[in-house]
Amino acid sequence: MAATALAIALSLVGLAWLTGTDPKRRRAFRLPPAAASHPRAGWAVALLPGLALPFLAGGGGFVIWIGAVSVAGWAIAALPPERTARLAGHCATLIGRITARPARGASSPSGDRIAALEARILALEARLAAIAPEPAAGQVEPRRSSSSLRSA
Amino acid sequence: MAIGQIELKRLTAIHGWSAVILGLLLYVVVATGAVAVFAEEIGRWSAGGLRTAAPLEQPVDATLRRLSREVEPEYREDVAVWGGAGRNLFAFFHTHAVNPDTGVLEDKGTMFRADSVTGKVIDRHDGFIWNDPAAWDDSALRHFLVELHVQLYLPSPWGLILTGILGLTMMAAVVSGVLMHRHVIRDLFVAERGGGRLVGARDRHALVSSWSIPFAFLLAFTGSFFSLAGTIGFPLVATVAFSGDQEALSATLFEPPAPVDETPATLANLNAMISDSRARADSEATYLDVAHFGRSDARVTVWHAPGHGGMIYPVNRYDGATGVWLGAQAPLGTAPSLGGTLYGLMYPLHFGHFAGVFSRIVWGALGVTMCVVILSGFRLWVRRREADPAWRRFGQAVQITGYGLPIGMLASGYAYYLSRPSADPFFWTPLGFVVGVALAVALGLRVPDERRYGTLAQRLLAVLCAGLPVLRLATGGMDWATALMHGQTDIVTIDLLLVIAGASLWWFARPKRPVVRLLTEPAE
Repeated sequence: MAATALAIALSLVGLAWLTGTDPKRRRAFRLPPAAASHPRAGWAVALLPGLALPFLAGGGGFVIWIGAVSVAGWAIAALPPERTARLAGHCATLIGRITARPARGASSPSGDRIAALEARILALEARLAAIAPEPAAGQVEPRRSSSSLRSA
Repeated sequence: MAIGQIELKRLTAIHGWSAVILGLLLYVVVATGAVAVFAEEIGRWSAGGLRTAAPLEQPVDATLRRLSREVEPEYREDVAVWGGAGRNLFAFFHTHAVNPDTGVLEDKGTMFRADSVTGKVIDRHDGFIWNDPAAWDDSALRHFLVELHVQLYLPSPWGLILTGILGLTMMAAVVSGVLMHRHVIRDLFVAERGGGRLVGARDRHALVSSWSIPFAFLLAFTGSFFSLAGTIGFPLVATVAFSGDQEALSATLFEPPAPVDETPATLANLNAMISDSRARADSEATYLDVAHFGRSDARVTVWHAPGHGGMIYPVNRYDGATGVWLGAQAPLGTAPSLGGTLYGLMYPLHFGHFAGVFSRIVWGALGVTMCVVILSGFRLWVRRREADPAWRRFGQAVQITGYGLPIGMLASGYAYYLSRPSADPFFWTPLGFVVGVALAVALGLRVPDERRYGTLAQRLLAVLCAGLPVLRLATGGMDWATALMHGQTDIVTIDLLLVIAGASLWWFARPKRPVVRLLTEPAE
């Protein structure tokens, strides 16, 4: 059953891509053409998992895949673009939160993550300094570096 | 294939008018089908007692031997055994005789409902028992919903013929729809355009129909086959090829020949045969048949749920006197064949219960999708003719039916639980449905405004959904702690789904901003 569920999930990713980039749908909703469409690749992602299922999960898995993709494909396509975009935003936030959360029992200590964040802040400060003009003395309070933040 | 304007008009007429004439009944069949997919779960939820294992997974040999001594000897000709809700084990010892009331050859015998663990007889019915559902079904609610789907609760064979015709109508609608809508692939991702325009209604119907094509055809085909095979197909074949002898037809198609030997012989151990069959099929036994119980030519047949990844029900046959495995039985005929395999596939493809609850959920969702196809088609048809008051009234009838059916089904659940403690649920459950539908119709006649009626009906549905689990518990249904302690999660799941459905419907019925209807574009 795990193979069937995975195949359904993969196919839905393909269908979501096809929905988002479909030229007729974009025309109907007066959206600009998609920057990158790749409909063949989208159809391949949508259909190939199902073609592998008879070998991985038997005929039953294959039939469930067709049924589930029919229903969920309709559900995806039936959402108007603004709702799809909102849903995609929520999904991206959720995935971001999940991936940002440390895995239970992970071996990397929290100190490493703090060090990585400090390095990132330093890099961003350096970029900012390179872009921004030099402030006149006394006009702006000097920025506190990440090391001073740690010592505070 | 290029279709001219005249052909297109004809196809539109076939597609639309067949739906107008039979579509509301088709909606009833499809919507109840989406619910009937979960018949087993509904049976356990509504009537189930505690169970640790399926009844046929328990030792049944001693119980059946004891029961065989309590029936007329002629009833040992055939014994059918299956599990009900909870620990209920049904055993039907029977022969075949002409029913004087109907003039038709029917099963006649003794039906026992026994506790599969203790072997104690709970119920006994004698005679032509198929006419008394209380004798062979432990849930009046499940029985009613399934009957409504199978034959619209009409007398047999008329109900079956009608549902068969409805299946054919649905097939015709699918084919004509595909031919009419020539851009199925190109429009596969075009969602409903807003603004309340006609093109939006067309988008909605075209989109859901396009995604439903394969299963709409498949479910319609298998459904009409099941309805018409028993009422028209097999009797016709029996008349043509077996001089009207349906028993001979049945024996030829489904029972491998066995030499007749009426010498009394003790039946081999049934538990050992079921256990062996379970090992061969790699799944639990669901049905058992013993032909010629207590004779030398006894045959034991064991049916199973499909094994891992499979779809066809494995069936094993045993020599009843010796317990020797005779081989796997083909779904049709005496040897494996393409026709037999296709026939065997009809059942799982229609019922969707080949992979447990996973496949049932998908099949239930497919049923809901078909309902959207039918209702969105009606909406489009009425929208094109809304200038005509008669069609506007038809649109109102569609809306009342659309909400009235689920209200009626939930009301039947209320009637079932209210009547279960002290009255006959097999009488009150259908009556509850009638009351629910009448309520929806009365509400529709009192509130002609489409939007207001929709809001009221959704709120009524929400209240009915949320209240049903409470009523189940209040009338002696299994509580959540007991259900969870004994692994009967389906009881808790259905309760929770009903509460969630109630909350969702209440949320959907909240006041919304009115839709601004844009002017119709010339291209529409």
